[in-house]
Amino acid sequence: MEPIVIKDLVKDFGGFRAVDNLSLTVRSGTFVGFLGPNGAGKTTTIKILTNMLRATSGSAFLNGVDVVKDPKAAMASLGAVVETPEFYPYLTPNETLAYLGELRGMSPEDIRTRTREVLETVKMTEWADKRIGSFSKGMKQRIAIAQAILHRPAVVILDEPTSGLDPRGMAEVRNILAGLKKEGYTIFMSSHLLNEVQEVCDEVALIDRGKLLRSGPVDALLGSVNVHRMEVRTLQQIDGAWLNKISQLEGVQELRANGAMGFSFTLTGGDQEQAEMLRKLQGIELDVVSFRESGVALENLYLSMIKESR
Amino acid sequence: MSEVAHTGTGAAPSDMQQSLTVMKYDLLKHMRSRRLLGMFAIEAILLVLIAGLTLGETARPFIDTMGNFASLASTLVIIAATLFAGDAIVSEFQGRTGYLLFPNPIRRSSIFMGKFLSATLATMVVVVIYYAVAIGISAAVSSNLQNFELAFASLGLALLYSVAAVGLGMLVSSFMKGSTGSLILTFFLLFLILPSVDSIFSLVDYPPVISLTFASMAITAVLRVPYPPATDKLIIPLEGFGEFVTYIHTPPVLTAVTVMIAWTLVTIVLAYFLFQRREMSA
Repeated sequence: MEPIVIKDLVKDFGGFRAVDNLSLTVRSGTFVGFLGPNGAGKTTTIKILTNMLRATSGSAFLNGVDVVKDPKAAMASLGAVVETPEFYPYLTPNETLAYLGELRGMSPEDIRTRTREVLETVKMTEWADKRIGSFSKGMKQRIAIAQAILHRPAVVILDEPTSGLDPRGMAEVRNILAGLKKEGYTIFMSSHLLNEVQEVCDEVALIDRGKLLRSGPVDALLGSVNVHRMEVRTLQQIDGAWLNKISQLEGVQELRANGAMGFSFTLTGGDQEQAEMLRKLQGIELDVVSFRESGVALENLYLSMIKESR
Repeated sequence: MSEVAHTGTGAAPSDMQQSLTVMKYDLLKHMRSRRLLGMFAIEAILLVLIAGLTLGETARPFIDTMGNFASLASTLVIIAATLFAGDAIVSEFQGRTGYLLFPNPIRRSSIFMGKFLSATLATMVVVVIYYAVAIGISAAVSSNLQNFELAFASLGLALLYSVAAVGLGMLVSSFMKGSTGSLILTFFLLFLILPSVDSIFSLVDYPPVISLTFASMAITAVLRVPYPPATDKLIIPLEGFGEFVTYIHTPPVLTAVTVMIAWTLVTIVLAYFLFQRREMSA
């Protein structure tokens, strides 16, 4: 049984269609990134899956249970962090986890044991008895992840878990997510941070304007990307003469200077073509310090898919 | 880290058990947010003020002294119901705590019931303590204890009014967008708007039977012996202007009880319906 199955899902807000006949399946044990620009329908889809919004039509199943028809049973196998949840400021992490554990039917012993474990996982043990009201956003986000995995759910849904965090907080959350992946959780995570998705996800699903554009394993999708933006740093100063020389190399497109000692260009092809281009640059006696793909490969795919869909 | 079995919790507790869990943690909220403490402070001030005024007088019959205390019981109920129920639902949406609570194996009905029980219980505790102290003081300073049992009839009506007022608070908080607005509307509905409508009926010879605040007048009226008539005509001669006729309406106890029960049921059903339909869209 697949942990998440979405079939022909539609959600209208007045005259606006936020989710448009979306169908998607998340396989057990995978970490799936749910990508799309702002307003693409990611959060709406997740809110339907987590019993916060009602679908206009279509269906969504968690572990084979229809979220619309039997939300109580469907939510039993789910752990979720949707948007940036707020906590009851008068409760401590221990009390919050006890509250949610009791609602989920965990025994007092299990709640105690798992609370210790999950707070350790998110590195919040020393704050276990402090009231959450005084916590920073990053600390709350870690507690949010802790509550999501408290009952060892069959599936974890995360809606932009690093949103609003500072770089350190983002790195910490990414480490926690990598840990969850090692523990074998099935994770469905929305994000528009492509480096984050490329780093932790096995598969991705791209949506825009509520429609699924493409889905599949990250490697397979990246393999299908044929256009790369390359960034080169050199020992020489890149002046007009150098740019002229480089632009005449076969395969170089959209050449631009990057500061005084670097440039970038677009290259069509895969690893073979990149290796060949590096040889050509060295062949014109350019002292190359670094030669790498600009940004992340997924970003190129993402941008081209979004562009095509509009 | 090793792989573990990811199964979720399996069977969630019964709806009733979950309601009691929600109630327990909601009561903790009332205690820690200092609303309950604030309520006890208001209660203490009212009791001291009335006791101070009563103790200065010549000893009077028990029901007269108790009547002084009961006259402010409905105000106490209004403040308590506002504080405990006025933002019970809306706070989950505005405060975004719904994002934490709703993706759990719990029906909205259980959340609603837990919050209703917690607000009702907190309000009732405030009322019972007020009456316990008021009865004690009245018994100690009164000239006789005749009709002592009527204090309990007044308490019963005050408790019933508490439930209905909490129901109204739940209803307001189920459709309002902000906590502050919800608290203010609940308070003014019970303290100003409905009583203002009631007062208009003093110009006509029929009472505002279906008004909740009118029904709450039975809390004090029940301490009067004999019980006042449903409608009393009062003629006030105004020099040069003829006569001014006004009507004093008092709800019969049975009518008051029926109206309070009806308000409880209607507000609770409506509030639940709205809460059930409300989406976490913002």
